Amino acid sequence: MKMRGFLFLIPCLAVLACGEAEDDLDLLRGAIRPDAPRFHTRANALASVRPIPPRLEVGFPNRDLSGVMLLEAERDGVQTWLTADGATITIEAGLLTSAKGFGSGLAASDVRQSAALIGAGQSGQVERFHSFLNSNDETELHAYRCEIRPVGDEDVFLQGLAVPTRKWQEDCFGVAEKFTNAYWLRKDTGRIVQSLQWTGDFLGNLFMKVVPE
Amino acid sequence: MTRLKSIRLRGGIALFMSLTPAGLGAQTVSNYGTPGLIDIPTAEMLEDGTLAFTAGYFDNTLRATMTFQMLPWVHGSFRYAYIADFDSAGGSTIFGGDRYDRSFDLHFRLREESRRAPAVTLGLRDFGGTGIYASEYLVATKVVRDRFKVTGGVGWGRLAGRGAFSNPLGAFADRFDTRTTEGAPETGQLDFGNWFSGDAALFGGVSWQYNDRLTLLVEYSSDAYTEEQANTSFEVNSPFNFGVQYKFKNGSQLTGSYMYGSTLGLSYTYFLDPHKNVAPGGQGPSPSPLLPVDAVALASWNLPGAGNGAVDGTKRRQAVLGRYLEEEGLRLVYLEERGNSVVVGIENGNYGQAAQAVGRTARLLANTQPPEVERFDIALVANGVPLSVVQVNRADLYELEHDLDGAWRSFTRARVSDSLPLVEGGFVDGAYPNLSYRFGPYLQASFFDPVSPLRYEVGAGLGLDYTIAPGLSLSGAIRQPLIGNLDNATRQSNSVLPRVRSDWTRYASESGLRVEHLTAEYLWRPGADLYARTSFGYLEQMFGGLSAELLWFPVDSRIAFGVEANYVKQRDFDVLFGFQDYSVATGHVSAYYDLPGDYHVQLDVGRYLAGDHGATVSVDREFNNGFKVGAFFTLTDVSFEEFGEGSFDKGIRLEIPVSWLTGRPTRNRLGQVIRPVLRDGGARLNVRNRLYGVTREARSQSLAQGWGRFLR
Repeated sequence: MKMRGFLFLIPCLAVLACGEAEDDLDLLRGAIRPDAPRFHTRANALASVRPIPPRLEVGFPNRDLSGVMLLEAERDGVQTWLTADGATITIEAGLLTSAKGFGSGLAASDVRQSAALIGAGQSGQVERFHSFLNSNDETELHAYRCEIRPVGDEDVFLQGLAVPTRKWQEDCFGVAEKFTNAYWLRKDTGRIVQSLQWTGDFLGNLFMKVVPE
Repeated sequence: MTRLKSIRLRGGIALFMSLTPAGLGAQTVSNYGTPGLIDIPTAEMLEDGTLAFTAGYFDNTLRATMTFQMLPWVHGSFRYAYIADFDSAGGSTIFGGDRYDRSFDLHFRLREESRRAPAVTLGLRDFGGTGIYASEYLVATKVVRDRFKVTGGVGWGRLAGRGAFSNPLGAFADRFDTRTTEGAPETGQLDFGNWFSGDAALFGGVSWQYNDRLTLLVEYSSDAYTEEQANTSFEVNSPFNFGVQYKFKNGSQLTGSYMYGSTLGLSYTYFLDPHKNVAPGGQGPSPSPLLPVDAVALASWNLPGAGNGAVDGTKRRQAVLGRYLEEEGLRLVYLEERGNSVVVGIENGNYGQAAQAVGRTARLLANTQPPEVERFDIALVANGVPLSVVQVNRADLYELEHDLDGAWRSFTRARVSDSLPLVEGGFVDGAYPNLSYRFGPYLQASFFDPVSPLRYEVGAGLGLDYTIAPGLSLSGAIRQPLIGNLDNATRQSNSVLPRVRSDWTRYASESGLRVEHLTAEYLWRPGADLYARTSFGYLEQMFGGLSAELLWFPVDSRIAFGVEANYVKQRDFDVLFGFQDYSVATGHVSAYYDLPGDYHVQLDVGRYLAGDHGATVSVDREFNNGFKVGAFFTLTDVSFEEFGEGSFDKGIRLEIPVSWLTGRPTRNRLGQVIRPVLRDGGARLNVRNRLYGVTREARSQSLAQGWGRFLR
């Protein structure tokens, strides 16, 4: 193979290996080290806001991943929380409604019945609905029948301090899936301070715990 | 395996549920790479859309097969086989007396399995090609007591090698009574005349699924391997084959077998489902959440500032919007405020689905524009030419952001239309001229050279695009090969036609640093629903000249028509700036049809590079996520003899979005065309930026297919 011209090319490559080429290099890095941290511009901007926005400890127990999310926006009672690499979850009345950027595909949820029962501290049966963006870019709507019940009192440690809570469990059954969510509600305020909520088959449950301000 | 079925709920929402398949899903794949036991076929089908890659080996034979379940009831295969010493007995010394063989199969399910009756499939194996594996069969398979599968069939051709009897089809026509033994008259032709002719024989077998992983196989094969026995050391001592198959966690299969009483066999099959990418929903950053309108109103760029009031505010908003869009991989090229609406033009450099680019833009507009703006007109722009406009109401964005079925409800409220006229003053400062570039590795592969069945070249490539003004651009790309064996190919073309493609080995071996293309191009809109392109320069690796194209493609149409005319001259083998003597006027009239479902057909009729006249038919299965599997063939007035090996141009092609592999947004794609042989008949110019490809992503149909990502 002729190599003429290659010496000419090298300085060109050295000069030009930046700018848009970064996208490709980033892609390559992602392929080689998929778990390498990536910092998104919005997350950087949010992290520099003072006072520090509300934080949430999160983790995927199935994947042994954990981190902290910051509250990015709140509109009409729906909070959007952001990770350092730009993934988000939305929470309504303490219940997870979407998880985007993690690969779970959970696009939106109708959890109004669950939220009403848990908020009122009542047991009972509810229906919940999830929509998923599947691997073929199609929206799938899944329906579940769930049973909500208290399972006992537990202390949850928030920044080292024990907080008395009541643990509630939500067992849900769909046509081809079943899952269990757990919520720890503060006894004094009735607010969810910790939870384990299902994001879909791909990633399983998401652990969330509030960080006191 | 599971399949998705949908039922309708109140309000017309589709609820998807995973159900056990009702039909017969293939559990085993034979060493021919099609649903089967060990060496004989079954009537099973793969899951719709599945690609199965199989490598099968026994004695002196190695078969590599790709099978695609193109329809729920049809699968097709391409096979490349190596048979050691097959031609030695005849005294041939070509390729050391070994045989390299390419073959195509087609299988049609005639009947689904029911509770009492079996599935029935008709198979055409090696229906073109040299006919080594040529056989036809009718086969039936029935599941008995969940774990047993019983298969029986009748075969013709190769499958009538043992226990043959007179062809029962002879009762219908005399032509079924005898089968010529020479195969197709010329390699690559369809061998219609021999199909289902000559003697027939019965074959059959059973499989027993011991558990989820292990399946035992026994079969009686009517294939006597007559030619292999005569020409090689292969022996057939028994018609019975025995096998054990292990299924891995990822679904792939490994089958070990004892075949024909004389040899051990091994085959491995890997299944790939294009419906399923690496991460459902993707792993890239999420879209910005919609901010409350009050917060947007109070944003610094929307507050009255010092200086020249309204103009100053517009510029600040434009700067903020441009920056936000850039962070999303989108380029703001146009912005015009029209009363209570805003028109923006964006160039999508990041998202495989244009709908996602539109969704991201709409959100950023809502987060930057003052509250009195009620409507966003988002124009998808390519090289400064508007392709279509999506109109989104701001109120709908707020209402549907967290809706359970928000994406589709958004689609019903959005309006896709042909492009709005863009006024000169609306183009954003600095949008043009614009320089963009790409630098990265490339891989070029060539298959089926008997001396080296896989040839490749890896190198570094640099591409530059300089858009001088909307529609007018200069573009160039250079490549420097670094490693590979593509340039070692020694096969010389024996073509009797002008050598427009078959000299590819000379292009590979006589070039170093290559100018892949160097063009000036102008895209424009001559009228409603019309697009036009002219390109001039070094158009592709082997040809340079002038190319002009006109496309009619209404925004809400599944059908498009185009006409292209080119006058080109063949480039020198060093792929730099010189030309050879050969020149030709070439061009086509094209029709494109996006069929309901995942299918797309294209017909091109015209004059090809060698001056031959004819038509190309292309059929692709296009999955929503961008994965494509297709096949094409070209027939021209060049005779099969003149064409040479292969008889006519044909091939299969795969296109895989990089985002399918990584989960992260990118428009990059990996593509590979697999041709049994690259000859000169039916060869078409490879000009860049053909209009159908440029415009299609902005049509209603394509936007609808990707709209699931509007809120992603």
